[in-house]
Amino acid sequence: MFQEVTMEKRQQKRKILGFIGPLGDDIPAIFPIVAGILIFITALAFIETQKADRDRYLAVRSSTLKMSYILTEKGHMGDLNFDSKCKDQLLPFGAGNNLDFAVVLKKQCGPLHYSDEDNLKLVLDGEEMVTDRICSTIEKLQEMQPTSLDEAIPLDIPSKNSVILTYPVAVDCSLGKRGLGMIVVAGWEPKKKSAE
Amino acid sequence: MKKKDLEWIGCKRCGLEKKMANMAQGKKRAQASFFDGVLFMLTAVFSVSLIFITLDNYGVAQDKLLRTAYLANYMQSTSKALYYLDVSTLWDVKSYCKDADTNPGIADNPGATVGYYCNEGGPGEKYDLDCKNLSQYSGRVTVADLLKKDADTTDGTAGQPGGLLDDKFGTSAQMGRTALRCAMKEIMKPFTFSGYRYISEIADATGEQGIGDFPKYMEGQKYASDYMFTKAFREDIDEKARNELDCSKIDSNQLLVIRSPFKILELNDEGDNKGKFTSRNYVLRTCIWPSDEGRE
Repeated sequence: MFQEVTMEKRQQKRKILGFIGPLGDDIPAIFPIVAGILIFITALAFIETQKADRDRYLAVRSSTLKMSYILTEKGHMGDLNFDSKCKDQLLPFGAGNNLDFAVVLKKQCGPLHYSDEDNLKLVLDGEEMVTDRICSTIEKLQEMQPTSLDEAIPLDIPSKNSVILTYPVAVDCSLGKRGLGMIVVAGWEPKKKSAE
Repeated sequence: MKKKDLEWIGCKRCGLEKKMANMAQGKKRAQASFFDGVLFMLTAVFSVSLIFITLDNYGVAQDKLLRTAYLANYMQSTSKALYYLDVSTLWDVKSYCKDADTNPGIADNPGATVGYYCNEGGPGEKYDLDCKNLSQYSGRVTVADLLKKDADTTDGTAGQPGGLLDDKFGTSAQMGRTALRCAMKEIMKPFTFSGYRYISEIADATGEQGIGDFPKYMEGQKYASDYMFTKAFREDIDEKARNELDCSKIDSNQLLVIRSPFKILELNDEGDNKGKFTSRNYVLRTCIWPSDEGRE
């Protein structure tokens, strides 16, 4: 009898104070807490995405640099040497390092013209019969034929996570002379198969 | 007192209690809401700070290292290419004055902080870079070939220093210095136009300061550099500092110095060692650093 009275009194008191329950009583406070946790989790996810993106860029840069060491072994790059390096070293390197690349041997045989767009064109000098050469993991690029500078189309290099490095090198020019040229090494992350 | 009256008094007391309890509850809720707001703000600020702090530094050191490695490899490729490059192919290298049509702002431009002197005159003029003369070398004469001939220190007179890189081998004209200047001007273009300075020279491998046994070596500016044609070099640096310039001591925390072996074997034609070779341990030294001219 005494207990029933006490319980009744307690319930009455709680009703008076507006107590609904440990969670139910504080529902408005849950919203900022949940929002805060969501912001924090989103921030962590954003950081991870950015870090992964930078890691991929650094991996591409590092692999492209390593590949350029193969190409700049000597101060001179002949056509046969370029082709054999392409087949025996560069293509296996690209496959082993998950890297798509295009390497262009630019034969300028005189003053160098540094233009981002022109560097990625395959040019044929009709008079001197001096042609640029290419080595690439992408078949359609590999099959490109040099044309005159006006007609040449720049290689299509993805803008995201791609690196382009240029190096000076002596190249074979007309009359058996060796003139100035450039090795342009472009490396990029392969597209995922699902995205293709 | 009737029961009805008692109930009325009780209800009056009950209402007062309720009112007081509600006021206390309201205060507590206001405090709780304030606390929740502050907590939310702190979480948001912490999250944003975390993004900035983490991403600001992440991968920056690695990227810098890879870029420096690229620069070092570029410089090494330059030194290697000089051994294969035929000088006759460099005849068409133009001075910056001639480049001015296609690259306005590079040549004499009072407003440009990196402006170069423009002068079409010959030797002795402000700008002595006559690459056309290199067309006289037919066949396979490389830049390194000419440079090794030009790296004689006697200048035709026994015991007289100062002949190093004077475009002469003894008394005959061997334009090693011109060839080096023309080649370097072309090869270093991407860095020159990006605000870098370079100096390329022949130095004594054993000398403490690089210049070693070559007194008054710098006076004739016997090196290849676009830096020496700038206003900053000609006017802003005093004569003494200019003459004693040692590029490996340039005050820049991004200075890169590449030294490639450039050994020369010299055949002795007199004395006890006649017919024997003397080895000269030279190096081809190239310094490169970002220019801070025009920056406050």
